[in-house]
Amino acid sequence: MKNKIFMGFLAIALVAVLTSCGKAPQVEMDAAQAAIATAKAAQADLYVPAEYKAIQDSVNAVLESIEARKGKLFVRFTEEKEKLVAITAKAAVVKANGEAAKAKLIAEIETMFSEMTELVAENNTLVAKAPKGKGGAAVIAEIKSEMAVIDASVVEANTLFTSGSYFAAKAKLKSAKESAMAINTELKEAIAKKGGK
Amino acid sequence: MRRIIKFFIITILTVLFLLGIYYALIALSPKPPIEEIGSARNALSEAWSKGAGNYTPKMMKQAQELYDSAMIIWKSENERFLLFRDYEIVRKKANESCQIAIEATGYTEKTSDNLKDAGRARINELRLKVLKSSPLFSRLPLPVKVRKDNTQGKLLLGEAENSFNHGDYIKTQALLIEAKDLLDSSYDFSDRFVSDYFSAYPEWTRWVKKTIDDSRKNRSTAIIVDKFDRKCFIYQSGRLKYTFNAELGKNWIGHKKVKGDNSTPEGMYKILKKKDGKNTIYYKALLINYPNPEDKEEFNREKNNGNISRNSTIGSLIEIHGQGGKGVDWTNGCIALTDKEMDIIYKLSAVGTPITIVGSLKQLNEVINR
Repeated sequence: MKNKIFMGFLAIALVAVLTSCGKAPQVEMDAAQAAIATAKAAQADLYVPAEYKAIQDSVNAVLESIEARKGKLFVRFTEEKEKLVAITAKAAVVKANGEAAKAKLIAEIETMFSEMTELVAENNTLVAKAPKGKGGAAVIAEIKSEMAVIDASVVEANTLFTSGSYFAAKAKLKSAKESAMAINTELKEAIAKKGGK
Repeated sequence: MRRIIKFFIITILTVLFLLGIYYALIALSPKPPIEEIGSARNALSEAWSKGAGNYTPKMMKQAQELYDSAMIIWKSENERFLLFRDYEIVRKKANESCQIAIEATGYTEKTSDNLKDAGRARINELRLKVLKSSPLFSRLPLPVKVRKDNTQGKLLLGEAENSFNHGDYIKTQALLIEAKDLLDSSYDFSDRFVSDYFSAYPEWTRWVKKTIDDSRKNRSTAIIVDKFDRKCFIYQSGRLKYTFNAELGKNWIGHKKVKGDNSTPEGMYKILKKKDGKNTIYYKALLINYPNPEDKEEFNREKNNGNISRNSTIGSLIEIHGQGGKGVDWTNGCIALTDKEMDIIYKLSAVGTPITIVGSLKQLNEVINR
C-alpha cells in the first residue's frame, strides 16, 4: 500500500516537473514598453532616432526570445527579465537625451531668430545710409522688396517654430539668414564705395 | 530486500517512461519560427534605418503589420499544448514581412541614390545659374514681382541645400522644383528683357562708327556713352582720350519714351548748352538736344499707336552733369559724372559737340558671359 502511495506521488511530481513552465515576465515587458512609449511621446524618435530605434529593436528581440522559450519545457525567463529591466532604464535615458536634443535645437533656433532680428535691424540702418540720389528711393525700394521677401520667410519660420516643426523652421531661418547676410554685404560694399569716392 | 529492488526497478522504469514521453513531446512538437521571425525583424530594422518609411511608406506599413501579426499569432499558438501548436501562418507572415522589407530597402537605396545624385546636380546647376546671372540681374530695372520671385527662389535653393546636407533627399527634390521654377522664370524674364533690348545693337554700332569717323574727319571732340557698361568715352580726332564711369537713370534700359520714365535716351545728339555756376545745381552740365526730331517723331507715332498714354508728354532737359560718383543709378535720365571728370569734359566740349548714347558697345553674348 505504501509503495502504491509513493509511486503515485512520484508520478505526480515527475509530471509536475516535466510540464511546469516559468511565467513570462509580463511586469517587466509592460514596464519596458511603457518606457518606450514615454520616450516616443517625448519625440525621442524624432530627435535621437538612432538611440530610439536601438531600444525598439532590443525590445522586439526580447519579445521574440520569450516566445521562442515558450516552445520548450523547464522554461526560465531570467535572462529576458534582466534585458527588459535594462531596456526600461535605457528608454528613460533615451527619453532624456531626446528632450535634451530638442531643447538644444530650440535654443539654437531662438539664437538664430535673435541674430536674424539684429541682422534685419542692421540692414534697415544700412539701407538708410545707402547711396541715394534723385532716383535713389526707387533703388532702395528694390532692396527693400528683397528684404520683405526675407522677412516673410522669417515669419513663416516663426509659424513653423510655434507649431513645433523645429527642423523645418531651422532650415527656413538658415536660408533667410544667408540671404539677409548677402544683402548686408551688398549694402556695406555700396556704402564703402560711396565713402571711397 | 526483493521488495526494495522491485521498488527501485519500478521507479527507474517510471522515470524512463516519463523521460520518453518528454522527448517524444519535444520531438513531435512543431519547431518554433525563431529564424523566420528574427530575419523579418532584422530586415524591418534595416529598412526603417535606411529611411524606407519615407521612400515607400505603403510597403513598410504592410511589412510591419505582417511582422506584428506574426508575433501575435505566435504568442497565441504558444498558449496551446505543445503538440497542437501550428506555426505555419506565423512563418508565412514572417517570410512575407521579411521579403517586403528587403524589397523596400532595395527600393529605398536605389531611389535615395538617384535623388541624391539628381539633387546634387540640380543644386550645382542652380547655384551656377545664380552666380552667373546675378551680376547682370541685379543691375536690370525689373518689375518688383520678378525680383521677389528671384529672391524667393534663392531662399528655397538655400533651404534645399540644408535639406540635402541633412540627407532628406525627398524634401530637397520638392524644394528644388519650386526654386527652379522661380529662378528660371525670373532669369528667363531678364534674359528676354536684355535680348529684346539688344535687338538695336546693329544700329548702335552704326551710330558709334559714324561718331568716331566724324571726330576723325573733323578733328573734333566727340562723346560716346555706353549705358550697359556705365562708361563715358571722350574721343578727340577719332582717338580715345578719356574713359569715365557714368551713372544713369534708374530705368536705364531702353530708349527714353516719356517725361518721368527715368530713362536715359539713346541716339545721336549734340550739346545744346553749357551750364555752370548758378545755371545748374549739379556743379556743371552739358544740355543735349533731346528730344531731337527723330525722338519727337517716335513719340508721336507711339502715342498715336496707343503704346504710350495720351496724357503723357515727351521728356527734356537731358544733361551730362556733375555730382556723380554715388555708385548707383540715381538720375532722372541724365548722365552723371564726378565733378573732377565734369571739369575735363566741360573743358573739351563746345556747343554742337556730338554725343552719342548707345545701349552697349559690346555684343549681347559678351555682356552675358563676362
